[in-house]
Amino acid sequence: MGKRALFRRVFSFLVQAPRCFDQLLFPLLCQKNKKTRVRRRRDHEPCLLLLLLLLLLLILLLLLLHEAKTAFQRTTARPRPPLFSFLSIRFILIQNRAGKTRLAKWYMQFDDDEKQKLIEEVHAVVTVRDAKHTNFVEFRNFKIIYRRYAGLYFCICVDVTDNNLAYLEGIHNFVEVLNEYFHNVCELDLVFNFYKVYTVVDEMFLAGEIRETSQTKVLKQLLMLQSLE
Amino acid sequence: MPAVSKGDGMRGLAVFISDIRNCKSKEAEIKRINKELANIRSKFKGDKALDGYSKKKYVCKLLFIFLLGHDIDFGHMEAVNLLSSNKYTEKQIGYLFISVLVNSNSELIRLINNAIKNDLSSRNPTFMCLALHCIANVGSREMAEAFASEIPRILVAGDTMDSVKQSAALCLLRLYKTSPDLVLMGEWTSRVVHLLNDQHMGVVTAAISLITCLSQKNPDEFKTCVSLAVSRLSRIVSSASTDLQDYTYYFVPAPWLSCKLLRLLQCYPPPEDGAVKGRLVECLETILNKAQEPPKSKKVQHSNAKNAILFEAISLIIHYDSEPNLLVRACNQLGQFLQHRETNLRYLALESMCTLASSEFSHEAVKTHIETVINALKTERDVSVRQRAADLLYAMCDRSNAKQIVAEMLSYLETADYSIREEMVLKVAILAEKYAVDYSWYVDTILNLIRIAGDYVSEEVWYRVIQIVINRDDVQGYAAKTVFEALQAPACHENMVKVGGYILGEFGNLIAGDPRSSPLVQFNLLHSKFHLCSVPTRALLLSAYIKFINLFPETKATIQEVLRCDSQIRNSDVELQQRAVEYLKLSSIASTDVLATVLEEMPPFPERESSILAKLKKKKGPGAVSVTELEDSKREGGELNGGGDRGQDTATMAASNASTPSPSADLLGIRSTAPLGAAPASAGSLLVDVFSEAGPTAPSAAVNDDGFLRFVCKNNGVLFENQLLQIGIKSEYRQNLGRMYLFYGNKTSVQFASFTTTVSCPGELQSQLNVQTKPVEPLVEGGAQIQQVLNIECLTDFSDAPLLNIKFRYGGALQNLTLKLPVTINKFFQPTEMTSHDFFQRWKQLSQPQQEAQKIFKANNSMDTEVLKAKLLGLGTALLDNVDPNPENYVCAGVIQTKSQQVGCLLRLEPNAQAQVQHTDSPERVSHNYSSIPNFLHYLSPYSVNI
Repeated sequence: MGKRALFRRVFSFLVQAPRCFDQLLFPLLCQKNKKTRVRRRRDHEPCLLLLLLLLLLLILLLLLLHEAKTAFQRTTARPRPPLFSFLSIRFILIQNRAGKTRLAKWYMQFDDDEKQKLIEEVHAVVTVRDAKHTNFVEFRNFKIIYRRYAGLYFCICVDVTDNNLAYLEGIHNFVEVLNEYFHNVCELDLVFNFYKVYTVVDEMFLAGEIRETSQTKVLKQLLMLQSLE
Repeated sequence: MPAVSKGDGMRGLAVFISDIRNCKSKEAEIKRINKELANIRSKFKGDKALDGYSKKKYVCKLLFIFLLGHDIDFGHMEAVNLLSSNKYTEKQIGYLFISVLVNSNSELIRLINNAIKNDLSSRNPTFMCLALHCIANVGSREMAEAFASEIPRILVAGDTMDSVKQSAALCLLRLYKTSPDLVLMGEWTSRVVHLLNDQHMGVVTAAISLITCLSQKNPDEFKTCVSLAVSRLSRIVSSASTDLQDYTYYFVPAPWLSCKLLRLLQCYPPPEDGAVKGRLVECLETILNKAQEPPKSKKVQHSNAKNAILFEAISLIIHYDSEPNLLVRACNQLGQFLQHRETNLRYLALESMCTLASSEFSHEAVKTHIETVINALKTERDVSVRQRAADLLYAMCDRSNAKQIVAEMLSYLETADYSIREEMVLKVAILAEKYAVDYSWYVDTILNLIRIAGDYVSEEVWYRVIQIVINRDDVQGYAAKTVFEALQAPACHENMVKVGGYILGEFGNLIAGDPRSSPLVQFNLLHSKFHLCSVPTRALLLSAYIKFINLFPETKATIQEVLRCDSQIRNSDVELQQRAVEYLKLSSIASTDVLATVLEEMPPFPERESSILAKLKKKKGPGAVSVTELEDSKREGGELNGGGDRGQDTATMAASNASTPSPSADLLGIRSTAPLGAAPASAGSLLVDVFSEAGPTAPSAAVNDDGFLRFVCKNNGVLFENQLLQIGIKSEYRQNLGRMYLFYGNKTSVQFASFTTTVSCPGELQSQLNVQTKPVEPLVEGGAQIQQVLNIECLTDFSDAPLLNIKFRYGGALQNLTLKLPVTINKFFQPTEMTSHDFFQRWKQLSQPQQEAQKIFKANNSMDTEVLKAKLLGLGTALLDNVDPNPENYVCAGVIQTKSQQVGCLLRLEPNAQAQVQHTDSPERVSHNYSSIPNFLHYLSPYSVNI
């Protein structure tokens, strides 16, 4: 826990800023940390008005984005399965709502421009969807399976024929491991420990396939690695 | 409790990251980064050797900067140095840097490979895993070359740690995917399959991905995995929810492994062994039963994990398509999901049901859910769910419910999302046609379709309604009446005007008896729309008018008046002007009889596959079309417009593109578009194949020389076509020189990037054929076509064909395609005319064994004289009439022109009609006596002698 104290020291501005703007420190899996939840609720009160304003803005934005989305869907016709398909996972992306990438893991050769384009497109497709929508979106020749945790979107891009629910739960399994490993993970953990997140990903997904699904086994291995110098 | 959040990391890195996060502007951030880069650079260049920690820290900072989106051009060497460190953390950062910033710098790769090799042989499981992960992440060809033989050994060795085995299995999978030629399983096969029995479930999870991939490629070698997978699955499925401890996820035992096992089984047909099959069916039943049990947890994770297995099991049941009982149970289960409150489940249920609908066993069961699906179409909030509902309605449609479904789809169309309207229109049009018992209903439906979604009604749809109306007498009167009524609406869509113009022009007489639709009323109605229409529609209307003159002489004066007015006869559009002038003249000069002949009713259209269906297929792509469409096209034979195979559309396209003077182009093109099996281009079978009518085989991406054979006897046409790309060819040959124009058409709406084409002459062809070309533009815009010219010179006789390799990026994925270019020796034939006397004199001279070749082969199709003649001409030789005493025989002569020499060829074809055998015992004789004649003949034989 010493790290969080360190962050507070380093970013005093973050601590002073109204907490409701500080998405980065929200635990991704909130049910485990009741304290934060309580604090969050209390902190919301002074900025109720602000929230209302934000809501209005958001609605406007959503309308705009919806327009953009339909336009997007019009241009990208129905998905065509790729001609040369072998891999199941094409890439894993973790993005926040503002579109900042927190992790990008590619299992297919793309050049840098293409990667940037994909990141932007995924963001545009995923963020306009609400809770009533499915967790699956058709995307180019593939589909994206995504789930939102606090302000972060975890997206996995797979073949159209792949098992949606298995990958959806694959994401959750991954997030639970992150949560244990980083002890109540929040977005900031992923920023400062980006190099460790890669290790976690490699333990659970390798070469575009699921490598290990047991949380206990993964955590044991991660702990062992942690103890090494 | 694992907690990384101690200050264990790199302090300097944390400070740097927070500095970056503190930056208020992009400029400040760049400034800070540049400062850091300068700092790191000086540290790396400094005289003082850096310790491991600092090196690790700086490399990690560089990596962070790279991940922020800035280019990094140094530090690779330091990262490689870290690989040889003995400390895990340093090594890890080194490997991470390499994996993220892959660089094909050959020198670095060598160093990296060296480090990996050391780590692989270190026997330290942690280091081995790091090295394996690096190979799996980079997966370059160089790595495959270096390690493809090493990794299987690690995978099956008895003393390898479980975690290393997991990494090794997936690492091997990655190498197999990038360079399948380098990964030779051979001796390892059975040991890899037996990993399915491994104690450690993680190893099984990893290994099964590898096995699935390998068995897709070599199903026979991995056949034994079926029984192992079934027994493993049955152990998991029958275990209690707590048995598997670590691998139980929210009370579901090993959900991912179960899914993977079920997926592996989908690579194979149902097991033949009764015991295995019984066990598998039992498993599937248990899975279906479990879906009915009350959930062990309220958490969505529990139900998701359970349903992931269920959906995979249903896919397997559909794949087998042989257990009616299971299919119906699956269908009922999905039916329950259709009303589930989870949107995900509704979506997936609709998707799975779509495939169930195509099975004869479950089609009826699917149909019972029609009301729910219609409801979903109306009320779902997510457009993709509505789309699935529309797909399912389409799939479950048959004669019994067609009217209801079409009506629902039509009413949905009024509010449908723009993104799916066009597809919906096509589907409605297809269903209406396919299941029309009563053609007035069909006409109503299509006219409604045009009324509701006119903008989305493509040409094919209204062409089709006209084809059908013209071909069926019983509906013509009704159609005329309906379009007449539809046109009375104050605003109607242009497509409606087109249909109206055409139909009234043809069949207006059928309703002319009614004073409310007298000829003049009809004409005025049409003409009232005239000025609002685009040029093509106006042109169509002008033709309708001239047809009116024939149908109703009493309207002649009015129509001539219209044609004569300046806006027609001096129209700035050439087509309109020409039509106006010509029609006016025609109507004033020609007698009634002539008019009646010229303007006779259109003859019926040849029955063939609906062009709409082809369009839908094209729109959806091969995978999305899936079983349902295949099923449809199969069924369609028996339905409305019986006949026409799938290949035909492309064939006609090829034929229409071909502009060869020789009639053989069409004849050849007409049916052989489907790949000619996997016909090996071996000498003997080649020509036989050209003549054979290949049955429609499933098109596959792998066979790329399917276009090749069709071009033996013709020079122009479509060489290759798939979902993305169409390649057309136009070629001309003179003496030993040839010029080939290649047209690359991008069929998508997306740009192709880095489009490159290379023509290569493999092996000895290099010295036989000289092919020159210029590189093409690297970008091909969506819908655009680019052209490439090849100059070909034949130096001496040759038997291989040059290869054309095409590479481009489509949507990020690299596409690679290799085709045989249809350059064959017979292209350099120059026809020679000679008399009967000359012919037989030369024929006799050429009597040495190596100067002749002869072949008897069976005719695959009826021997039509004209077809045969056309093909022989297409071959390039001169067809000599009145030479052979037997008029049944065909005799040809020609000279093959190469740079080094000219070779005369004589040819006789003796068809034996009774036995339906192309009884070709006629030898081919070659005039020249040169060294490679046997070879030459051998090659020539398939083309000429066999004919």
